[in-house]
Amino acid sequence: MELSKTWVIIPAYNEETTIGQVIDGLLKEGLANILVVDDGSADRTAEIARQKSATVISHLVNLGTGGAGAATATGLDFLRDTQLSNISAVITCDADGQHSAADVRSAAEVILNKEADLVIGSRILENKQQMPFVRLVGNLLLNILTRFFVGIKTSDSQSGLRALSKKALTVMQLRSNGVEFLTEMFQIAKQERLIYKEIPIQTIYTDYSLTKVRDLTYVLNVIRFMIVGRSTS
Amino acid sequence: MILKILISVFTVIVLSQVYSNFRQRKLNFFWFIFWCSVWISVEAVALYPKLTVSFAKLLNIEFGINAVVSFSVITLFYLVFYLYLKIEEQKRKMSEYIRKQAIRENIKQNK
Repeated sequence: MELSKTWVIIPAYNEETTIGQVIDGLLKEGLANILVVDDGSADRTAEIARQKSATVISHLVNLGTGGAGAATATGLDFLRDTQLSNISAVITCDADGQHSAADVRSAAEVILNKEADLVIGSRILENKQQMPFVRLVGNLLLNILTRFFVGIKTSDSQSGLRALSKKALTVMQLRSNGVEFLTEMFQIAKQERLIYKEIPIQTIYTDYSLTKVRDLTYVLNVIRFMIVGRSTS
Repeated sequence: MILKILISVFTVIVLSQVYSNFRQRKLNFFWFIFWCSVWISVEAVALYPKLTVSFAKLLNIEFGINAVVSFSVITLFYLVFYLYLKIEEQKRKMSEYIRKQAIRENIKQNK
C-alpha cells in the first residue's frame, strides 16, 4: 500500500483546539504527508500544525466564509503544482475532529486499489441515525438537488471526507470559496467522467464539532445561498 | 400577446445564459437555482398575469400590470444579474491572487 504517496489536506480555520489531535490520529494511521491549509486563522492553528511537522500553507485573509472551498482549492493546487509526479491519492478531511483517522485511511485504500477516482465518505450510508435530524433533512434535500442538477446520485453530498486519485487531482481545479465547493467537485467528476464511489464512515459529533457548525445556522445558510447568495464572502 | 412573446424570448435567452454560466462553473449551484427560480417566476407572470391579481388580492392591494413597470423590473433584474456576475468575477480574481500568494510563500520558505 503506497501510503507514502498519499497526501491528506486539512482545510482549517481557527481550529487550534482540535488540529493537533487530528494530525496525531493521521500519523498513527501511517499517513505522514499532511498538508494543513490555514484559511486566515486568528488563532494558533498554523503554529500547532507546524509543531506537528505538517506542511502548512496560510492564506493572508479568510476566504472561505461559510465553508472550506478556498482552503481545499489551495491545497489541491499546491499538490498539483509541486507533488504531482509523486502522488497516488489525496484525501480531504475536516479539522474539527469529526472524521476518524481510520476512515481517512480506508478512503485512501479505495483510491490506491484503483477502485475509483473520487471517493466520498458517507455519514449516512450505514449510520443514518448518528446524524442530527435537522442536518439529515438538509442533506437529503441537497442530495436530491445534486442528483437533479448535476446528475450524480449520492447519499451524502455534504461530506468533507473525500479521496481523489491522481487523475482526479489533475482535473479538480476548484473555483468556489465556500461550502458550494462540495457540489462543484461533483460537477467536475461528472464532466470528467471520474469513477465515483462511496464508503460508509463514522462521524464523531463532539460538543466542539457541533458548535463549529450549528444545525440551524447551516440550514439557514443553505436557504440564504438559494435566495440571496453569499453576502459575506 | 406581443409582450408575452417578448418576455418569453427574453427569459429563454437569460435562462440559457444562466445555464451556460453554471456549466462553465462561473455560477455556483445555489445561485443557479436562485436565478432559475427568478426567471421562471417572471415567465409565469408573463404567461399568466392573473397570478399577480391573485397575489395583489392576497395582499389587499389593487393594481394591474403596467407594461412599462414590467419592462423596468425585468431590466433591473437583468442588471442585477449582470452586476452579480461581474462582482463574482472580481471576487474570484482576488481569491486566486491570495491563494497563489500563499503557495508561493510556502515554496519560498522551503527553498
